[in-house]
Amino acid sequence: MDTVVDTNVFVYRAIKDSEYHESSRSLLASISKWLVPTIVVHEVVWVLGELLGGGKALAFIKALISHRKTEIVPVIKQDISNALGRIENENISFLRYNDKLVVLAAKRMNAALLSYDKQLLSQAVKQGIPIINPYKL
Amino acid sequence: MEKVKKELPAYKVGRRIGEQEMEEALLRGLRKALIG
Repeated sequence: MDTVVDTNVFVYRAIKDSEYHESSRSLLASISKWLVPTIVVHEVVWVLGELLGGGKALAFIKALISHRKTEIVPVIKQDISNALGRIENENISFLRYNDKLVVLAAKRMNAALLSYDKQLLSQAVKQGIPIINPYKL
Repeated sequence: MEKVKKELPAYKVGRRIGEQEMEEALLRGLRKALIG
């Protein structure tokens, strides 16, 4: 099964002294194809730009988007519309908008979700999306 | 055609990066992207 990979996995993978660097490295190595929603690419750019600085962030992101396992997948109108609907119906903050897009993209593509965000994994399970739970490996 | 990399690079930042540091960095980066 194809797997949508969340931002935090790539950030932990990019930073050697991060909390889950070795774990993220192993998990990414074990997955044959990384489905990367465009919102995840943008988040990786913003986070690594801050944590690594421009040069290293640029090198990582260029390597990521050209990696043989990476397939960049667009966030489409349906994802945005559904994310806004969920925010409205669940009466939750717009701060969760990005997370909703990632979960809904995984659902639309019938893909599994890999993330270190426990809240996101929980949302995915509630929607019947298969997850790769890094805390239970 | 972009050269295909076999391996992703990784870098040290000199401190432990966890969920909170990542969230704060995301907000800072997004803020800079939006308003400079």
